[in-house]
Amino acid sequence: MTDGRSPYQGLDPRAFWRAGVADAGRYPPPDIYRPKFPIARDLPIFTAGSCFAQHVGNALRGAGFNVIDAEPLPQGLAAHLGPLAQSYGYAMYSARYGNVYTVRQFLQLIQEAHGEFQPADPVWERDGRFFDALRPGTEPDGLDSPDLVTRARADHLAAVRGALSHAGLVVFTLGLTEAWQHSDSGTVYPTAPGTIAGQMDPARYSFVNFRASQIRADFLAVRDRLRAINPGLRFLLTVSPVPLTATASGNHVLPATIYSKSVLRTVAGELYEDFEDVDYFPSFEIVSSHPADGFFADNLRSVTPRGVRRVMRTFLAAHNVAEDQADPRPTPADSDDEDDVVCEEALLEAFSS
Amino acid sequence: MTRLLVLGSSHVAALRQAAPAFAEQQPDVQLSFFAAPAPAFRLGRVGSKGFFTPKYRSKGDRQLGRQVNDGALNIDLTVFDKVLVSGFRFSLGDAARLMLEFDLLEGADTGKARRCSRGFAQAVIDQSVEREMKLARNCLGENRNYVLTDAPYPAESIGARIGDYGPAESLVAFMNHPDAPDLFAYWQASVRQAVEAAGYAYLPQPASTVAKPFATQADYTAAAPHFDGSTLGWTDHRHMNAQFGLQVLTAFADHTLTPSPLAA
Repeated sequence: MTDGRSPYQGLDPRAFWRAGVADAGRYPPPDIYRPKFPIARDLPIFTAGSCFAQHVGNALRGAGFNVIDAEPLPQGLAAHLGPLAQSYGYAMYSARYGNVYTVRQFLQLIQEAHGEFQPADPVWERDGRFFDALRPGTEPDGLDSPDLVTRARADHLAAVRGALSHAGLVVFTLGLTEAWQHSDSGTVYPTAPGTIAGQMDPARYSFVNFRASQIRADFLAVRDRLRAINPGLRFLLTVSPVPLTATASGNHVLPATIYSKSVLRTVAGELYEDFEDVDYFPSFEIVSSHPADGFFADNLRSVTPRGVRRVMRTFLAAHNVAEDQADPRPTPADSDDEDDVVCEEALLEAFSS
Repeated sequence: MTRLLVLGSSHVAALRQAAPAFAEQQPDVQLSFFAAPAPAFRLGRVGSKGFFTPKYRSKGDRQLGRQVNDGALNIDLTVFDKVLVSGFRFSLGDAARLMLEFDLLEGADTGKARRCSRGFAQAVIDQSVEREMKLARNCLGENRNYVLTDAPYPAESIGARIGDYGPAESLVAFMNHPDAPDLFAYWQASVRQAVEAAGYAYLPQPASTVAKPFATQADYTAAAPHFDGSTLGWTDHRHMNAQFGLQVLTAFADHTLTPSPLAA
């Protein structure tokens, strides 16, 4: 027997647009995010993902969470060197892998660190300098020889392996569905050949726009591999609200962006529904649903430092970190003058004319 | 007669103590000195009329300023032909900290667990130099008769202060690192380039005083003077003595005062 009442009757105010958003009194609305599980301050956190993930890592670190840095700079280095160090991949994530825009790239990194994957064309050249094709931005001027790139990558992979061996939580920001791959092997790169280094050769490299099913399968492979190391490992997913700088899909960049983000959001949502160990924080929704609310810079792409603070304040509050508990020390993202996060994708802007 | 002002921080003291000996060498040079504690000196400004005034932070600063400068709190730079500036520290400290924990990817393997690229180490040097140069430009302005010389490199004996001076460990490690000569040469070139780009002349620390990369011979730190005229009661391994000061003044004279041969 039922009483015939609408199933919406009696729901929390947060379930209704008027009470949950329009009349919520502030934005982001309170109670927009309920953590699926708490994050202990001492839990080792591994961070990775697209550009926006740097903000997440900075906020967590600033709030006193135990964010892993397996390739740290020496203690006591002058603070003014921070942005320079970030341009070399230091203090961005849990190791110097740079931005990891796709889940496939993340899967490759994990497999390669454990000797289960060998990337094709791992060294790219530009003007006689040599770059790690899997993280070309981490040595802005390249290295003297391919051997040095290989040696540096071996050091890096050992650090990644070490970081993953004791991680208790992986915070991953899904950024892109579009990528460039080595056609024969399927090796995916974070940048298109010819952007930072390498040369575009249509016979060798091709465009790929990952579908939701592929991204889900890649994430499940990531999850399986990492939970084999630590069965108690959990995941916190976010979707980057930063629009595509450019699309190679043939579509206009605006619908291409919405398509890409929708796919990523769908995958994240289903993973959240399907697995107790996967949480989702709606940074994408907070920023993208109110883009005129000062979240974006004049280029309508970069999230402003103020916008980042509002997003991350919501996250920290949900995890019971009051603002006065957060470390007020400035991070590169705190600059009001410019968006200091490192984003190779933005280099595509230079190719737009 | 050349009117030369030595302007700077506590490191001016070594040059001041060398003044009598230098006067015998260069009787045509009229030497003057003006000094302030390093923070006050480095944040000082040259006003529109050409007077340099340190940024005194306290009564103590002012009192010390008067004490060491014959009662003056500022100095008119326009009456000097040359101004030798000793007090900006184009420090290699951050590069030294880097080399305490890293080997260079391209360099010698000293058994450290981690490596960084030479490019990163050089970028750290460039940025540190540029940052100090910005301070120097703000302080000195665009008067082009400045000659900047390095604040003395720490003494090679700085290891004696590992217990009480934070940077000592990394400085010692740097001095003895097999890749230090290359980085030191890069740093010297970077400093010269930055100083000359600002329109100033550059006088590197005399090679005769250098024991190792970024290390002054330990003999020069014995009986170093305080800039109030007294002798430091202990060896701090950072401040140098009159013998060192004479080396710098002599190098300055050779560098700046010796007439160049005229072209035929």
